[in-house]
Amino acid sequence: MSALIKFVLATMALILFCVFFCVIWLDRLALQLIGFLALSMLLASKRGFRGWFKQVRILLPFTFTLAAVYLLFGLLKVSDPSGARAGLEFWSVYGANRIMLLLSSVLAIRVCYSYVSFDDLLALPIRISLLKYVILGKLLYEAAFSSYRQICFYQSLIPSLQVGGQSLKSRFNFRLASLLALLYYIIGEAKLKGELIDNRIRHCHQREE
Amino acid sequence: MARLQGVSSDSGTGAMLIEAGSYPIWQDFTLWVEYELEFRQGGFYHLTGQNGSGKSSFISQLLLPRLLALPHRYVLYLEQQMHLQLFTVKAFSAMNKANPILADESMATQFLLKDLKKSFDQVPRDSYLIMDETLYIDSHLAYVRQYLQTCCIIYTSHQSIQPEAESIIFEPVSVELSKVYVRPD
Repeated sequence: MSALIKFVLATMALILFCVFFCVIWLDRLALQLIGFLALSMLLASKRGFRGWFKQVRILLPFTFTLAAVYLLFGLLKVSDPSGARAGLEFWSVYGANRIMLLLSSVLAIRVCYSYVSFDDLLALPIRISLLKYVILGKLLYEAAFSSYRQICFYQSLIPSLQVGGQSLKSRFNFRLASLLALLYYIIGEAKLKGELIDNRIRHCHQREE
Repeated sequence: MARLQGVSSDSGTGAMLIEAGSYPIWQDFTLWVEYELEFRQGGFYHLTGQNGSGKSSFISQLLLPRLLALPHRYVLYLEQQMHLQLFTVKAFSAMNKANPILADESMATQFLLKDLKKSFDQVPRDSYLIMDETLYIDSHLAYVRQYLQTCCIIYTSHQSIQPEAESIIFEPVSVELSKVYVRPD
């Protein structure tokens, strides 16, 4: 199957998912659950149970946060979107739908585009001036994942961070600084790699220019 | 394998030992420590040997993990090329509202040395400074000698040879093995 057809099919599948699950079936909990289970099975068949679990595990903090917020709404009897006072029953169903949708949406993107490889993206009939952003995106994605652990290691080598205990505040600050360092690094790499790619394009794709 | 000697929380009294023996560092590379290596507080050690003899590997795979496993100590590592480390230090200094904003390696290393001094002044502990082919090594040594006399300094450099440093030699025996020993007086 050609790269373009794969990409179009994946995009159409995602659009269909959005139309049905985000609009038409938004408040149908049973269908949201079926959607989540179906997407889980598809992802597990592609990447194995571990791949599925890894993906869901990343989303767990957001899921718990959302659940906590809706629980709070229910306990405080916050008004529903129509303005009427709503209790725990309303907010638990409302929240469950949205949480299922959040999980399903991420899985849907993963499943749809798991059929499109990076080589397929490179083979798409688009100008190199646009394709370079795809290439750069992949390079930065890989750089981010490979460097985060090293950043945490270097942070542990800062003397004043070797004094403090394991309080919530110190752990939070540690993580925040790690993410900031990662951001600095990615911005720096984007500039550097972007220039290298531009230079390569100038020399190898002169006709397009 | 290396045995960790207890390092007291009082500055100037601890030492770290690496016992004699073979240490597989990478899949196809082993370091053979001929005699026990001792890194004392206030000590000054120069790891020397040709390129590829295993000095940086010794630091990253053997020395640093053992130092970081010690309780109640400071470890400061300035590596050869501070690319990723530089971003880490910049982020930390930005969060701590350091002024001026760190722009390059020189400023980053100065920041780290001052951070070590500040931490030591607040809570004195055994301190280890490891410099792997760092630029401006002489100025770093001058700073540490002035403000952190009990700090154990371990460095590698092809340019800067300090006569008072104890030399630890890395001698390649084969492609897969290097011998490590203290230069006899």
